[in-house]
Amino acid sequence: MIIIKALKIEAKTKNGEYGSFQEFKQGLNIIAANNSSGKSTLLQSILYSLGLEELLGGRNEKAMQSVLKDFIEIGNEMIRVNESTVFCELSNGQETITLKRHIISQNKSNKLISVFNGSLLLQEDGRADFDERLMYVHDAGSAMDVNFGFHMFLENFLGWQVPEVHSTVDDSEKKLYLQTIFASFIIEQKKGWSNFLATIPYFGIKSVEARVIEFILKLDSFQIENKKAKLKQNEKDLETKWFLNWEIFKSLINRGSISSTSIQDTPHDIKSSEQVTLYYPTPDENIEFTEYLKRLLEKYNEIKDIDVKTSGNLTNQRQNELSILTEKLNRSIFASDQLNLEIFNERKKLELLKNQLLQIENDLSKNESVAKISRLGGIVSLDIAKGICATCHQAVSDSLLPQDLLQKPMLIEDNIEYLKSQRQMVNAFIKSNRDYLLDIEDKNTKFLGQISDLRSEIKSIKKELITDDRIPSVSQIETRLELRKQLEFYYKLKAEIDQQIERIMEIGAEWTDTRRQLKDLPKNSFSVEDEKKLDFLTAEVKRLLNKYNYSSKPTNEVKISRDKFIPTINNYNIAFDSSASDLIRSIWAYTCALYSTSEKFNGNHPKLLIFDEPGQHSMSDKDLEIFFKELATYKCQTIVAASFNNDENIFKSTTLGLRYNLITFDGKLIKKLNGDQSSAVA
Amino acid sequence: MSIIILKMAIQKLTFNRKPTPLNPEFRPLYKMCVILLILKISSRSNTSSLLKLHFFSWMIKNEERRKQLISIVEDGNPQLPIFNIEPSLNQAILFLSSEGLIDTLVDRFKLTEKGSALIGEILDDATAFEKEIGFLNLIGKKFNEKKVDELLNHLSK
Repeated sequence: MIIIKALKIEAKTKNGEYGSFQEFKQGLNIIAANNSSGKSTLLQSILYSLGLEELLGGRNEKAMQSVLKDFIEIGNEMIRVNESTVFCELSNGQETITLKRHIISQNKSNKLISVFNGSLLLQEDGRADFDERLMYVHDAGSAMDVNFGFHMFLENFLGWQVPEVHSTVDDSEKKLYLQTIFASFIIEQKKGWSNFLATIPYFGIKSVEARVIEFILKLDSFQIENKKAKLKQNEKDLETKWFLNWEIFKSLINRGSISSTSIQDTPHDIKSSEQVTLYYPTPDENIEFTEYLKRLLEKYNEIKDIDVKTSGNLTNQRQNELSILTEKLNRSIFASDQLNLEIFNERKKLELLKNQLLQIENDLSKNESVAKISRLGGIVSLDIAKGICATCHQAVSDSLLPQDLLQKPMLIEDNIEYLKSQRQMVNAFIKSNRDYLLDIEDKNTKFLGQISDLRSEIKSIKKELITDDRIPSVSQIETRLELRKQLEFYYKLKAEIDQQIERIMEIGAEWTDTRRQLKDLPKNSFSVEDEKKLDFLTAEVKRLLNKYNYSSKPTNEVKISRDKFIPTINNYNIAFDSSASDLIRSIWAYTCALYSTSEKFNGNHPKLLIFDEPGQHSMSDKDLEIFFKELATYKCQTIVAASFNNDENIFKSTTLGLRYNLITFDGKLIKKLNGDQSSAVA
Repeated sequence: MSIIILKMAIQKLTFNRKPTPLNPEFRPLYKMCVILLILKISSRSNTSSLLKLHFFSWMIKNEERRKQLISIVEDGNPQLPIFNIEPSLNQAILFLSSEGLIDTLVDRFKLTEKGSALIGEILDDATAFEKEIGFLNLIGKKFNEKKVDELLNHLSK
């Protein structure tokens, strides 16, 4: 939990020190003051001291009011601010710390926050000698750095364990920034009332609203979603790894002109290495590799011990052999040439297909973007999205081509379907093309191997035919040597291949395991407990909507959406269809319901609610009164700033009979300080 | 004989024009969103000249062109691209201004508040226009009006 205990603002000018000191209590705190007297400055200073000013739409001093960084207006005089500082004392229920952060300063960076380990402002235990630790915000690492990152410190201080989420900016895992979480219980004055969770700053986190609510309510779906994402990534990595190892395997067997169809380029489970069959292809038949090795060995053993004949007695036989071999060689060369031509053509075709696929993917992502965007509230109200011209209110076709062109463009959803089927088709083409290419390349390798074998055989026979008849047959010696070399080579290769198969099998097993884990995850990501929490949240939102007199839509149709966890009616964010004042009511209801749901189920809500000017859009005083009454029943700290239309009577009637801590200031928040703190306490 | 039967069977022939697929580049909403994104992310004070819009809309079209512009901006690759003017972009600008999403200044276009609000929604949905937004964020405001003018002078030489 988090309790804001006190806030002190200091601004040094040439006329001395100006500033303010305010104390906050547990329970309902009402900051009541006239318009532009400094209510928002006070609340913004709290956010600023926590390094959360991005909720206000800026960083560092840019987010702050000019009174704290430029000029203080006293009467007609503008006094320049030379240095300004915010102090904030807060507690997590057990420990109290005080934060100090400069807004503008001559020599200190306002990215630094000093953390004092005690009650510096209220001096509850009379101590004044506190350790000061300097930490930073808004630099890379502020959320992660254990020693110096302030948000990491704050996370630990709050007893939170903020999960990691996927960021699309650089495709990496990042902490769910605290700024995004705080947007769910601090409703800022301007943007805060425009939608649910409207002030979440942009960090490129996918479906950030959902992640925030999952965290606040401690939904299991978060872990399930996260686990799913991790497993998917793992699966992808394994597929790449498989492919790389498959390529090594392929190059190994190619080295020995071996072929195998047992292992594909995409992962699959291989139960045992016996499932992997290797073939040694000859143009006539495919022999199993082990069988081939055996035959080779037999052949070698056969001729190993035979006496080498002299070439003279072999001449006739050799000549016959030569003519047969030459014939064979010519046929092989011809076949190989044909294949080469075909391979070249097929490769070109594959390239074309791949380009086509790229184009389709590109178009598809563009179309999908448009389809997604059209589902958003803002675009729906555009005339062009309804097929109407905004200028002449005539029907226009959904195309930028000249309107008189006789062509009727497909609906965007149909177009997406069309492209998807195109993609499927091209993918099928590519697959069959690739298979065929592999096949003929394989064949070609066989022919090339055969050609080189035949050539060397012919060479040795020719050599023998022209040498002296009395010396031993060279071809026979060569055959013997050749065989031995081959045997050695194949034995070594076989060991390497076996090792590689082992490696691939390991990857395959891991991949199957990952797939199984993925399959075992629940489909809709919500556990039974989650459903209970969401049901309770829905009921709370309905109850509060009724209580606050929401009337734009029948409240019994309100549901909490399962993707963004915001209130919807007929799958539309209720913010879009509500009147301006009903939007405010629904934000009241939702923000309160989040707190009470987290409270009931022991979630991560820090038990702090801050509303800046909840009486937007001239809400009736009656409604405001109901709202205050509801807040007064909460066991958490709530801080509400309101002007009550600058009317003392309205304030009295709205807060009648409530227990609350009043924070008010005559005139402006920022006043001249006498050097004595206590005199500034309201 | 068969022709007669056919004639008897078909009393009336009607032709229905089937909807044709459309290149997303010609979808009004796509082009409009891209223009808004360019104005929001890559234009000083959300204002841009027509020429710059044409240039960016040309360069954002596919991976190859995007890479080209990034290498020009980041590595100062001096090889300047040739680009085309597309009439469809002008049509999209007309739609945008009639919807009140952009204002026409003297020779510039500026994002209106309504346009800003809309672009805010698009940026909130982290899954739409991922590539386009990623690309524009990389370019930022580095390729400014002056550079577009330089490019044009270079091309017209």
